[in-house]
Amino acid sequence: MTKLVIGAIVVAIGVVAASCLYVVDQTEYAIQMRFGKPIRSCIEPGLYSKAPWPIDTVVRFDNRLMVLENPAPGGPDREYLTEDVQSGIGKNVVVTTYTCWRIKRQPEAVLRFLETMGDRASAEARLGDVVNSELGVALGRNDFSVLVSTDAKQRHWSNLVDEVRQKCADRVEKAYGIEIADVQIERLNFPEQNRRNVFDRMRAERQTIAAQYRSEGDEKATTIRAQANRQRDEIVAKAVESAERIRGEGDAEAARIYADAYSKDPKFYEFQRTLEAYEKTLTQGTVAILSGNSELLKLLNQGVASEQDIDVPLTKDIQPDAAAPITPPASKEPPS
Amino acid sequence: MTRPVRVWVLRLVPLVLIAYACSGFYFVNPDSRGVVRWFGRVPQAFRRVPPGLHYALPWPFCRVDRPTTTEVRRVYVGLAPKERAAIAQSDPDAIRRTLASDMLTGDTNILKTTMVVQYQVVEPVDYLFRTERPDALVRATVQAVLIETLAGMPVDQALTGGKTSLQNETLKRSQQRLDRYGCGVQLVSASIETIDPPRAIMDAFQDVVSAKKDGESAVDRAVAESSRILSGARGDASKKTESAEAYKQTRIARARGEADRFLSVLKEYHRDPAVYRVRLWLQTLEAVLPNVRTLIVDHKPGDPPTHIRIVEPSTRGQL
Repeated sequence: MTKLVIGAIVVAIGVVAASCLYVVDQTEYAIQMRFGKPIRSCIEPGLYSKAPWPIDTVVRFDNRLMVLENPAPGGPDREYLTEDVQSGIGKNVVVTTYTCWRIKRQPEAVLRFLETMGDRASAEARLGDVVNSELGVALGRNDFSVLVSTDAKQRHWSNLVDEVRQKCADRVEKAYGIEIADVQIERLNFPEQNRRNVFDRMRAERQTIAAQYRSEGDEKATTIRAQANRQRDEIVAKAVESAERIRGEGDAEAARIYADAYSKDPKFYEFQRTLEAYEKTLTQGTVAILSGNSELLKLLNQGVASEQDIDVPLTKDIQPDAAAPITPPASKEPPS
Repeated sequence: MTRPVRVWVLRLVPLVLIAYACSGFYFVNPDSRGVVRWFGRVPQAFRRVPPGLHYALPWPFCRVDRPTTTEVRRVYVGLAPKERAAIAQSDPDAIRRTLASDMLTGDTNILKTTMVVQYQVVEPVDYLFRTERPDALVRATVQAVLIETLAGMPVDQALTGGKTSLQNETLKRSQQRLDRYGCGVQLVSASIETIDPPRAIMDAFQDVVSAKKDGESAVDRAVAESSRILSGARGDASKKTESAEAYKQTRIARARGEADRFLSVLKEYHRDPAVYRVRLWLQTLEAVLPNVRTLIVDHKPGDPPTHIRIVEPSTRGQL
């Protein structure tokens, strides 16, 4: 029985001794409190000693960087109004931010956090309010194009969020021992009821662009066709030009050849050519009136009296009374 | 206590102690690094314990974490694949939930974007102990950088050529921010998986694409037509010049032939011009007169003019 008592005492001493030690983890701050009054703030990890429970108690806080999404995922959207300098009617935007925060790595800051916030949930609620109000102020003072614009000169996104972060830090750092590492806009959108307008505008823009593409294509096509027609006309005109030149060369060469040949005896040529012309021009339907005195009919009229008469005198000019065409030739063949 | 029980307990005690001591052995897998905390603090030597079998004092003295460092982790930014599937099935509630992942472009268009971010743990201690939810922080950071970058980019650029710069810019700036937060991760890649306009106006965007094609094909058709026109014109042109050339050659050849004929005849003529002339004259009249209605009028020089009335046959039959 005495052994049992001794055993119990040993166990009790062990428990008390264990409660005289506590470990502060790498991820924690700890505050040692004596009857509820903070007496030590531990920011470095390690093994610490204290008076046994219930004299001393330890409160621990996470010292890691925490991410606070605001509003929380799945929560209701939060709308902000931006200012529009020109129209005076600001745009409503839905913004989600994330805030990276931690308790400052200073013994006093940890104590301050304990006194003002007490736990993480109330810290995040407070922090959320601060961020919302500062963001609302910043957005309300700025045009929408400060956030969303293709003009790099107008856009001051980083300046705006830096300003919000700075303002928030000013409000919570001293007051609550909280350090704000960053405030960033994680989502930016239009409220649901405004999206219809945005969609309509987007559609109109697309239609304009589509029409532009089509008309540009038509324009180019028309230009190409016109150029082709012009080139065709040029090519054909050049061809006609050179064809005429070639024909002219042919004509000239032929004329030269004829001239060379006929100039050997122009009289004979004339004679021969005239006869040829008769053959061509005196065709069916022509009425020829011949004089009975004509050289052709001389023998017919007079008979052959003497051998002298056989010598049909061929005048130099054989045409005049030989034949006189009454009707014009059916077709005028150029001499060839 | 009876004696056998006491003996049994005394024999158990060393076994329990040995088992307790042995619980300090730990394995680090090849894809991981070990981090050992001695009373909550990480000694310099135990920040990156290499793979293999190691020993650390058991609880409550030491705690061992073994984060994987070679594994490439991935996180979706923007529209999650599940949400994309919901949109594809046109589930109205699901679509309402995806509104949050809409992103604005610089010219105030709305785009639905999914970006896949891959990252690795490079500083196990930072990854474990500096941030509370490092993976959520990576996602939030990349998302913030992505919407910020996209908000300065025109929609056409974002949908076409700007993707690469969007990815590179997002990767670079996200890494800078994560380094500032000190969460011990290294981004491997940030790639845009999808970037689309909302379904409600998808058709308008597709019409722009087809309009572009329409324009291009109109130009293509015109080019084809113009080459057809030009080759036709060239053919036409060469036809014209060739026929002119043919005319020229024909003309010359004929002239030569006729000239030669004339010269040959002339040669004959010069032998006895009078006979030749008469022969030629009569020959011609023979050839001509049979075809011609011939009236012979006896008319001597000095006679008054003879009046001849020719009644043209009104019908062919009388001829």
